[in-house]
Amino acid sequence: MSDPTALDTITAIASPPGRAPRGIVRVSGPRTLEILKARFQPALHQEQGFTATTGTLDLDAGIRAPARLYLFRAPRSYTAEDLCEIHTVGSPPLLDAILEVLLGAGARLAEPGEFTRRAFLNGRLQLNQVEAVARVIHAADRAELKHAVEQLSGHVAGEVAHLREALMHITSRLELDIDFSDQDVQIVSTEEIRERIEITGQKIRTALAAQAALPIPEDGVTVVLTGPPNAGKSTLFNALSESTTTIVSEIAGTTRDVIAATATIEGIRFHLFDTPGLREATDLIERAAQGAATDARRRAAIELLVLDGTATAVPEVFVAPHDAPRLTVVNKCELSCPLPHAASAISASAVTGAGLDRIRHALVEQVRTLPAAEHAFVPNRRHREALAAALSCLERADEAAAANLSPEFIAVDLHGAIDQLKQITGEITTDDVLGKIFADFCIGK
Amino acid sequence: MSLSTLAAMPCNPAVGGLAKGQLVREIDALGGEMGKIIDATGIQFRMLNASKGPAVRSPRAQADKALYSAHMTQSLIAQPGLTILADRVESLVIVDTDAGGKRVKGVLTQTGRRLEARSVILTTGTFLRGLIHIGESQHSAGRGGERAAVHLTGSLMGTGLALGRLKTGTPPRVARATVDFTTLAEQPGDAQPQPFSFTTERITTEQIPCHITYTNETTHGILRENLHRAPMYSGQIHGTGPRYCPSIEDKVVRFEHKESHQIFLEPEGRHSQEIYLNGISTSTPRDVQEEFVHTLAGLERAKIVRFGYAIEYDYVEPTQLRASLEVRSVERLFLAGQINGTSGYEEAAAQGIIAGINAARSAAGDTPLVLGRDEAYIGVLIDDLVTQGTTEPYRMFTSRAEYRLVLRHDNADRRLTPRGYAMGLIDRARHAAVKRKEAQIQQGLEHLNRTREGSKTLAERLRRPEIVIAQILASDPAFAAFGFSPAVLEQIEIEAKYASYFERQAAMIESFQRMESAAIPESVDYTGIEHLRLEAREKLTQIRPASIGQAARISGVSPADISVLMVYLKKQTAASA
Repeated sequence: MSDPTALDTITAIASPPGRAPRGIVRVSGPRTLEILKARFQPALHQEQGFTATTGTLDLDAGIRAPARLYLFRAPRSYTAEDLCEIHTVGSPPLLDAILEVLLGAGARLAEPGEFTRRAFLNGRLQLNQVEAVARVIHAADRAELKHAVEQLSGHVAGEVAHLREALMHITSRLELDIDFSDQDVQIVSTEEIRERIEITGQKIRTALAAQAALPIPEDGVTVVLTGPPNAGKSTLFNALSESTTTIVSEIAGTTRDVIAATATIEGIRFHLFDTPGLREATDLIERAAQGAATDARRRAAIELLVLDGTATAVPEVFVAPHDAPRLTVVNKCELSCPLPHAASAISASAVTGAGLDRIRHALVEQVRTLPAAEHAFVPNRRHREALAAALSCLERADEAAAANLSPEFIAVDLHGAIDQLKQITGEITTDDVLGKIFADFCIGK
Repeated sequence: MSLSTLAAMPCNPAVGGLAKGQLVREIDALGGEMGKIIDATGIQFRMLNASKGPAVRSPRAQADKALYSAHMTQSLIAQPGLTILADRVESLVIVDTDAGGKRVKGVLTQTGRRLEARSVILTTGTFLRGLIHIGESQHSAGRGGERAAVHLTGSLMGTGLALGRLKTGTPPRVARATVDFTTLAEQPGDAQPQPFSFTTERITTEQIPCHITYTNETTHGILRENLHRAPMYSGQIHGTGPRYCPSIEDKVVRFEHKESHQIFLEPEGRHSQEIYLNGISTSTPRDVQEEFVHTLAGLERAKIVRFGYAIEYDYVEPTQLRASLEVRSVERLFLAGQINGTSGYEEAAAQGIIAGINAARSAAGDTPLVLGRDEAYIGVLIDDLVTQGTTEPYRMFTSRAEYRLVLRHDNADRRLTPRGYAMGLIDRARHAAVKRKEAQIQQGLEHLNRTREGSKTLAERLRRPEIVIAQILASDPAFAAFGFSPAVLEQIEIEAKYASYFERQAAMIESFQRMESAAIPESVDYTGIEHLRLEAREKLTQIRPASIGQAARISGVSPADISVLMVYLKKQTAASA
């Protein structure tokens, strides 16, 4: 078995994710040298064997990244193909930018375990290593799959499903016009097709732009403490804000009653907002204060609802669910806690410090499941490549529509876009598109 | 059984249609008969999608059923080396092979004949345990007025094959003399009818129009009131029907807000007294058919001469076949047509020619002919069947072909006639003509790419939507001097006009072919490959793909599974080397 994909040049980030002193991007395949020559200074030599060169790599927008290039000429490399390792600063955005440049120059993102597969198929590994090679591929796939599942949780999956639905919709309308034109079905206009392409393209652009917004915002995560008066919010607020580093200040434009502090937990910065206890406002000042509290609550990425464990019931105003994900803390647990509460609630005592670590841990966990940037679907690298490719397909489809080409020329690129989305959404088959036609239109003579 | 039912058309009186027209052209390019016979006997020719791009245009013709059958029978009788017997096959003769497998040795018929054969092709249509439903009544039949094949299913199951059940339907036919055409819209044929066969110069027969009528609220009311008597709704039918060809009762239920449905009135022949009501396939009881047909404009006094019916029949899960259409578990047994889960004359004929070629080749010890998804709709059809299988009667659509821009009806001869010649189905003269045509197309394209008019080449000029090849002919005497035929000019124009699309499809096809040419030996034991996911192991064991490309198309097989598979295959080839 020779490798039927051997003409492709593949690339991937080879260093572990996250910040590290050094980052590595690996490229392998017949076009390796050609791609790097175009981007690297000083000029690369085409010597046999192994060379290491220090220089800079040209990223777009006039940025040059310092890099050391380890070039292994075929067949004397791990994969037995031309292979290059780009060693640079271990900054995730920088590695991403390098990867993007390589992909733009015609490399393809490596499949899980593909470098190892190539090494094996090209005879660089022993036959008795088959098991090990298969295990590498299997494990890489599982790791990626796990990551993909995490990515696709909750409303992110919804976003992708919308995208998929939109593409299916446009494609099914075009295919209807092609394959069922001999029946009395309503054909959509070019204008409508273009409009739908534009809307879908815009959604993809939004998703691609969201890459700038990291899942954990650089500027911290907003946590708002809410709850009835005298539940012990302020005590908890002070306990959570590490007093030595806490900056307590008034927030401009809000009333003096909303107080902010920061806390760093497991490397994540949190902005804590203490709010006045919510209850029926009895006077003007109180109403103003509570308006501010409500505003703060709206901005919350996480709401920390603090309840008085010694109370007998949860006040009505806190029963209704809120926009932001909510963690419930039943406070004052140094005393008896007669308050009936959900099992997921955290029992704590701001006074004794009991349960504080559980709150901190819950906050970090909550951040990990937060929809990034609060609304957008932040694609991972593979998804991003797929989305970018899908977007170029949509742009070509729109050009074809604008030029009034026959629907099959528009459809060819829409199918291309759908093919790209397969990486994120799983298979969309021709039969799915046909199924949509059969479901939406009365077909059949 | 009798010769008079050879090439009978039990359903609509038409050949071709969207995507099906491409199949007919491909069959013709390979050396098949269908195109020639419909050209000789058709009564109305239309090019569908004529206003769209060349890849989705499809020829369609109204057939004269009796004449089509008669001409096809004549052609078969005239075929050297072919003996025709009319008898019913009851079972297969199967023997064990030395290798521990099975091989077909012939068939046993109802009259006690034992026919020995090196290869056997079964094309059972809707006859396998066929069961016709008209309202509450049901009876065993292969199709209207013909007996079913009841025992053959058992013989097939005895070899270990898995069978399923499908359903299809047909509309009522009315007597032509009882239809009032005066109020109905007419649908004429094309002013310049185009033939199906590359060997037919032109169609000269007089064309006959079809007519159009519509269902209305009264029609729908009658159908709704009688739904409980329709076998599709009473639970009497178990087989799965085609989604693209629902019965009229189904349409009324599923699209309850659609006020009317279109019906084409298609004559079953030039002199036939029967009109086929295309659009209202039904299995409602006879009295309901009488009642609702009379609500249709123009059919108020129409006399139904044949009632619509639904038919259930057995089919073989096609994933049990090789791409050669040979049954994987029974050597030399080939299946084609509805037995493989398809519907349509064209789909059946497409499989028929491949099964025929490969049955002959296997008997002679030659390698089978397998057309790729990049080569022909026939390739798409067969690959879909053997790789994905089907749960409803499978019909061809252009959208099933990922390379449809290059799989056009107009270039079927360029794509397939050389293959037909290699199979011995195309004579030397016809093959030479296609080679000459190909050379001229290349010569013309080179000229257009080389010749400049201002800053642009002629080929670039031709890419502009408003420019047609006639303008190039008029402006460039050197090009005109080649004296190319209209067929050659058409190819040059299409190739030049959509060059950028074709280049991209060519790149896709290249990587497709690399995956297809990575062969997988049939002996691979997938259950022993530990790092394949369980679902992949099961699917691969069941379908036994011939190549890495085919394996990758199986639903439930992931890219990582493909990687693991490649690694194991490498081990295997290294071990055997």
